[in-house]
Amino acid sequence: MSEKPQDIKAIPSGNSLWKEGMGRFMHNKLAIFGSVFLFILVLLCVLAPLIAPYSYETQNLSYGSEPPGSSHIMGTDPLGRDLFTRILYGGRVSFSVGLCATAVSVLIGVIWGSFAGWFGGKIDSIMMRMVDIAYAFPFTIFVIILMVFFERSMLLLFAAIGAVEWLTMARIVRAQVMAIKHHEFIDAARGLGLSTTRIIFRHILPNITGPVIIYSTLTIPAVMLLEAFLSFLGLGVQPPASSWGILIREGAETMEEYPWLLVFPGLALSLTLFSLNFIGDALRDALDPRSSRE
Amino acid sequence: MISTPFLHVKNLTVSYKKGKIVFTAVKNVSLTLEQGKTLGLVGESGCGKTTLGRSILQFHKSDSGQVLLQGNDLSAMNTDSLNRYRPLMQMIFQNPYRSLNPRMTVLDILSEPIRIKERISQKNCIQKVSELMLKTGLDPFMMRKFPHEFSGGQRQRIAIARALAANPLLVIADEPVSSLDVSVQAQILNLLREIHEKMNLSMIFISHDLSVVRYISDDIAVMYQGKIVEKGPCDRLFSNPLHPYTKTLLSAIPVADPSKSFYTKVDIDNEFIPEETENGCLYSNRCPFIMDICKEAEPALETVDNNSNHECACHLINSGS
Amino acid sequence: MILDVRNISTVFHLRRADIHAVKDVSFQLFKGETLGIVGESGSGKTVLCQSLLGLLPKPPVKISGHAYFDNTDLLDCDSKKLRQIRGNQINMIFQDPSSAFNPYLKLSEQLIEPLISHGYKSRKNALEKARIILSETKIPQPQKRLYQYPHEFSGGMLQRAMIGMALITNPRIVIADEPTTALDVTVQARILQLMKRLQNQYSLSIIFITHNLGIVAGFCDRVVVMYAGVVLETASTADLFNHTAHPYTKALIKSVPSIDSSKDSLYMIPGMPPDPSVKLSGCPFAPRCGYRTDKCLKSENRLRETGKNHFTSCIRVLESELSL
Repeated sequence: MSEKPQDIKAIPSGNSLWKEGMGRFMHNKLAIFGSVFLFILVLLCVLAPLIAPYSYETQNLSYGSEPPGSSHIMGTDPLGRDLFTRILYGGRVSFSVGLCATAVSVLIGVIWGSFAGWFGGKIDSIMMRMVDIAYAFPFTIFVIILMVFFERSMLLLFAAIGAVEWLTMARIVRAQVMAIKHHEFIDAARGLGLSTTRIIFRHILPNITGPVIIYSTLTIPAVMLLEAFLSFLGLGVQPPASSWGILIREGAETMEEYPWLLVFPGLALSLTLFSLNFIGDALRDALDPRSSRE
Repeated sequence: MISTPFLHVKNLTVSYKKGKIVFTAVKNVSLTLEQGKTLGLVGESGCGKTTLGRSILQFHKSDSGQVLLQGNDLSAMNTDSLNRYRPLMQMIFQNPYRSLNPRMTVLDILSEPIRIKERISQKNCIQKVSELMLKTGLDPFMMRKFPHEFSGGQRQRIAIARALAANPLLVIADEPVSSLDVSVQAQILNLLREIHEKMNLSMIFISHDLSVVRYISDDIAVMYQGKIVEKGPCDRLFSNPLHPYTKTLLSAIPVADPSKSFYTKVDIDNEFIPEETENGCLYSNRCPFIMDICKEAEPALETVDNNSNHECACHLINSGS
Repeated sequence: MILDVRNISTVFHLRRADIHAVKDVSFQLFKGETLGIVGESGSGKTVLCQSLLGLLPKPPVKISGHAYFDNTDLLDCDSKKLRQIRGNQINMIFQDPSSAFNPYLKLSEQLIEPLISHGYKSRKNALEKARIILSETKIPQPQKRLYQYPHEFSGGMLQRAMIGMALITNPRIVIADEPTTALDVTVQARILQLMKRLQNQYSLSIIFITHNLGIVAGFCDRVVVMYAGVVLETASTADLFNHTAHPYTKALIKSVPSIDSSKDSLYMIPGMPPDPSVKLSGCPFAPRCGYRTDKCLKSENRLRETGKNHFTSCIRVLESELSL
């Protein structure tokens, strides 16, 4: 046993907690279904300019309000616009809002929560009381005010939604940081004289990515639903651009006469939300630190 | 000529705030440690031994007193100076399941201390890490594995290797074998003793288990409620324990001999007497030899015979009976 | 004989492997005695007792064998009957008292719960019984303590409360799973003294699970030594220490650090316990045993009598090739 390895390739790699978690994840059929479905859907939306049969703006009144058929696989709306195309383009908007707003909320939430959790004491009290106050703030009014005072833009939409969703992320991150902070390996890092920044980045953050990822995966559907809600109210994305929210609103207005206009966008949104939730749940089971300590 | 002791703790007092209550964990404790020696710090839960160990390493700010390492006052240093001293004094923690970062491989964990001072290539790192692992009885080909892939005893070996990686002069081991099975305990204790002898390390070994401490210590200090009640060379303390608390501790240790029922001698009915005595000896409420003076004045730690290093804080002993 | 356990085997059918936690274990418990089950982690001692009381989820766990208590086979009776016995006639005490109590309920509620759920009608009488049992465990001011929450108790006190909760239904058997491992030596000594006193008072039979042979020496009447799910030796305490009949037992005795022995030698058992998912042949301790020969790995591992009421599975001892 006195043999020493000469280079890194000679040493067999180990099974990180990620690897084991992914192994568990792969056994969850719903999550696999959700992942595959999402992947295909996102791919279609990304490739929309290449594969959409029509332009999303083209109005052809002679084809108005056609049910699903050979030339329009999901039918058309009263203005003759192809629904399938609009769903693809709408998906681009919905997904980008979902991802970007979530990214904003994760960034703010992680920074805020880590700060509060690491320093504790008075700093923590002040920071978390601010979060509590922000929670009580009525979201809709806040967004309406923003939209009224500033120009309506996608960027503003991201910011507004992100500004609301970071609150729960901050709470989750704070709780995780406070729990990890007392583990002895953090003391060991302090015992080496490492700087606070290094300790937070090297030792604390990698150990909280599990819950952060899980919660992010569950935030995306919440954000998409929020965007749909705002668009439904007329506060979100403006025509001629469409999002699933707008499509659902328009579909709801004519749902008795032209049901396909509601059914398809509704299905697209709901199946996406289901998939994200399946994935989030499976991630939570897979990455639960307790189950990794068999 | 009196030489500077390697480690000199002077009148250290450390307290905690629990909500509104202030709890003094370490009360005016002084001790010295010579280079290359091991001090066993023994006591039951709440006696302050862990707080003392952590305060020596400056993990916890003390209220008053000094900690002098090779003459340098650690308690008076600013963060930058202290951080330069930190690699010289390392801790081995009790819980092997919480003292290693679960997201880092053994290679990462052991190379972190090595890389603090110098930039080292990955190849050299692997060599040094291999040496550390062999020294602590681990297989170097496991260095890319993660902590959860090892048993409790192996994790503790990794923790020991990490402490050694920084090339420390002082190592404080806080109950390093308490969470391990008896047979694994023996392995780890043997390892610690071997390292201590080969590397001439100075060690403080904290434990509630006197039988474990005996195996590894040169000197022993017994703590009770934040104070040292008896201190002396290991063999002397065991062959001639003086303080009533030390005697109680010794008699309560399970012995692998069916003819000795160790637990019958302890007084079952008086466990929950409140500890607080205003001015007197903290042990007076439980002590079978209590005298009037015990309730009035706190006994000081005094040498027992003029020749030895055996000290005891007890009015009965110090009065010469 | 109050409990007759025969050929218990417990297997965990997990996705990655089948874990044989307990393999063909048999032992008896007699009225009024203290039986020690000794083993390190992974020996199967805790799983054994959980299997007896039906505390393991049936898939993925499969249990075979018999455990006769009062003409009932605990492993082959309906769950209603098992629930009537468990918590009532056979009780368990655990290592960590703080996890045995609900932090949101006062102690009174938790102490009377075993009584009420087993048919005790009068709440007032139950509370009185709870107070009495607390005072018998020597907790000071039992009337006041009864209405406090678990977090207001110290570790040693909470352990006493747990013992009280286990005794309140006047059980016939108490299974104590490492009840003093997390406690200081002096607290441990007092708890053991208390348990002995209560055992005499209530005519209890105790199964005491531990890894510390020192406790066994002073506290237990008979001992079962387990390793890797298998019983290696069963004997009275005196015989176990004075006429040790298995190398593993001998090794365990030697690795307990003692304040009497010489400072130079701290015996350690080389190697590690075997992987429970791998099926073994022969003696499971053989790979680490200093006395092993070829036949140790090949022959069937069974308990056989080597002296009066002294059983061992070491084939070399049984064939008088080895004396320890």
